[in-house]
Amino acid sequence: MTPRMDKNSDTQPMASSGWQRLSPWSVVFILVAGIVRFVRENIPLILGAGVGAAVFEQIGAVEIALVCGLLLALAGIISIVYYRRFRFRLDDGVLRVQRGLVERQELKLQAGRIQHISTRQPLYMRPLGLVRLSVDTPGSTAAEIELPGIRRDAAESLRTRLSEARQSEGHGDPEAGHEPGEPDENLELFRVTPRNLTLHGLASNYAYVMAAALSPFLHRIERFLAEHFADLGLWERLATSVGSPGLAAALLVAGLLLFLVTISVIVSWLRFYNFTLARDNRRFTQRSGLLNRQEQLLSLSKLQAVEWVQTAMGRIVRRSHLVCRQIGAAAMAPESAGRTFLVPGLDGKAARRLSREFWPGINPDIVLRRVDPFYRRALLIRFSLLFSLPFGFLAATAAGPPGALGIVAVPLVIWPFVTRHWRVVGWATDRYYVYFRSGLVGRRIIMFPSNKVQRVELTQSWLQRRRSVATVRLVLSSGPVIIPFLRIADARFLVNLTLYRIESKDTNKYAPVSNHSAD
Amino acid sequence: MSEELENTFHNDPVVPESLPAHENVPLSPVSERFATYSVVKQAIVWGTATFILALSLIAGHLPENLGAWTPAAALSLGAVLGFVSWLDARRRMYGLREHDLIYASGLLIRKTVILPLARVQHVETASGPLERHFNLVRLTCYTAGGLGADLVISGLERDPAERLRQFLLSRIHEQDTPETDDAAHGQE
Repeated sequence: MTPRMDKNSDTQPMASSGWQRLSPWSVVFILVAGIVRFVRENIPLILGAGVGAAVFEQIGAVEIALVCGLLLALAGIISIVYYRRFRFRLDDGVLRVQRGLVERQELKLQAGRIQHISTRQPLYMRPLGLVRLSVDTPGSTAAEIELPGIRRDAAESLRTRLSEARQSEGHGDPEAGHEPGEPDENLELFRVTPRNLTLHGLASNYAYVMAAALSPFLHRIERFLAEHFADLGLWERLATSVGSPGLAAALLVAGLLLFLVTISVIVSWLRFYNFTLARDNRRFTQRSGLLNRQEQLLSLSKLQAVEWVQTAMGRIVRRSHLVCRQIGAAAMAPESAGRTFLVPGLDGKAARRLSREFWPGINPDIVLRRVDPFYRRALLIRFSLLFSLPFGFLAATAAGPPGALGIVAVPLVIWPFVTRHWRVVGWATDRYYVYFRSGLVGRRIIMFPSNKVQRVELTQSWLQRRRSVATVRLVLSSGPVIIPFLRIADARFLVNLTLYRIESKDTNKYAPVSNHSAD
Repeated sequence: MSEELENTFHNDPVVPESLPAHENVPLSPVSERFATYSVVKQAIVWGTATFILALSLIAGHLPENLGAWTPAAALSLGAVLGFVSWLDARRRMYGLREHDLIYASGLLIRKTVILPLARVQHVETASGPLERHFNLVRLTCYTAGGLGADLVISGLERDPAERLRQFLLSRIHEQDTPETDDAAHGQE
């Protein structure tokens, strides 16, 4: 499944023309991207160096600046060399990229293998009219080819030529609905309004995830504040002005939450500003971003599953988003990574309409069935054991009876959550699609055509066998969907139906819908 | 998939009873030698551990009171694991249908993996030195988009494994016409 990659193959005679270079300005981009990557990959090292510099007092600011300057100069030289040795060409439907600092590496990629082409435009590249073009292939992350910094028109023509090459390679005409060379006749499906974008920010989990990540440090922050600001009398002033310390504390917490929510809304605006989703026959394009304009393509044949996500806050503000899962490793990245094909700020109607846009026969409102009630008990046992461990340890060592009390209390605390989760978990299958919902307060419904499944697994533990239930794992190219504790007859039906859908090559791959040609 | 195959399929309404049932497929156990192999493998691992612990005990590297028990503990753990893997090896089964490969394994947790042949991208067989001694091979199947192996059948005898591999390869070759709407995409 990996694309053909020939390292150091300079054997082929070079054609007289055709090798193209990046724009000279791309040096800046290579430098910035390189530094960012270095920092991200070496955070422990950099932190260690920082701590080291802080501990050894003889290293002063001058030395640090000197070292940083030297490193920067070195990085600059490396970027220039990288730029000078980077070239690419496209002929006969094969994209060839030569790059490398010391050893020249040549990557070859057949147009037909390309899964996904995306362009990004960081803020500082906008005045220069440059974009970053990256080409993904299915299967491996290492095989991603990136052209850091070419002119927008060059990127557009490269993209057109790649899709032409795809067609002439006999891959049919599955993606582009237009004649090569013609401008795309994109049908705009969805455009996010500023209001919906703000609501998406409110609903997205960023703020709460951040709050949760900060909570262990809350104690320390409080102490820090107490030490440094106590003499200023801020707290006293706040407490006296609102009347009581309790109210003041509540105000502080509310202020912190408001701050996090604001950040979350800002992130949402940065990422999804002016989001549009357009359709060109079997290809979807999304464009979005306030500072970083980015464009992502999704072809229907690569789409594996659609997830309809309603977060807890999203259910209150009545907004949800769709996540489109594609083949390959990029699809497994978390949603926050910014690489997933995500459609934000949808109300229920828009979410249903867009899901049907991907697969017309899909029914997001299908009645879901609960899994066996034994699932509750299994979860209760699992989590009780997990959470009782610390209490058991306490009881055995220091606390004694209170620790033992904790063990008794754990299941009582867990039970409502487990029950709630069990009520949310549901599954359904019509003839063509499988639906699975999970969540606790939020909802996450994953929907996919059963013939997209790659592998089916049916698992039964000893206890499950006694209760005649089984867990089914449907493995898609974008990751597994695990449906727990189905009654054995249901589990077997789901497995057999899925296999039938894959293997029979039924002429109707998707549910028949009038007015639409799915194939 | 070829034109004729597509035409041999009907598009009747699906009722649960009429679906081909994977649970009714007779599965054949893997080679009987696989159980012996598993036990020998455990014996080698734990035997070595016991031997090293015993040597260190004699050399006086282990504490007096607790140290004396460690070789015995390693030996008994090895015995238990050996017995478990013997039981486990005898419960591994596989079956081949017209359109898929089935593999069932597990002692306490029974797991059945079903891999549609249309999804297999690549097949390989491998065997370690000990496996070769028992004339056993592992068969590994890969599908599109998967990060690792999607199905590993260990403990096959060389001849059936080779026949199975040839069959799978011929099936891959058969379906190697480009398809536009499938995850089984773009084999070269």
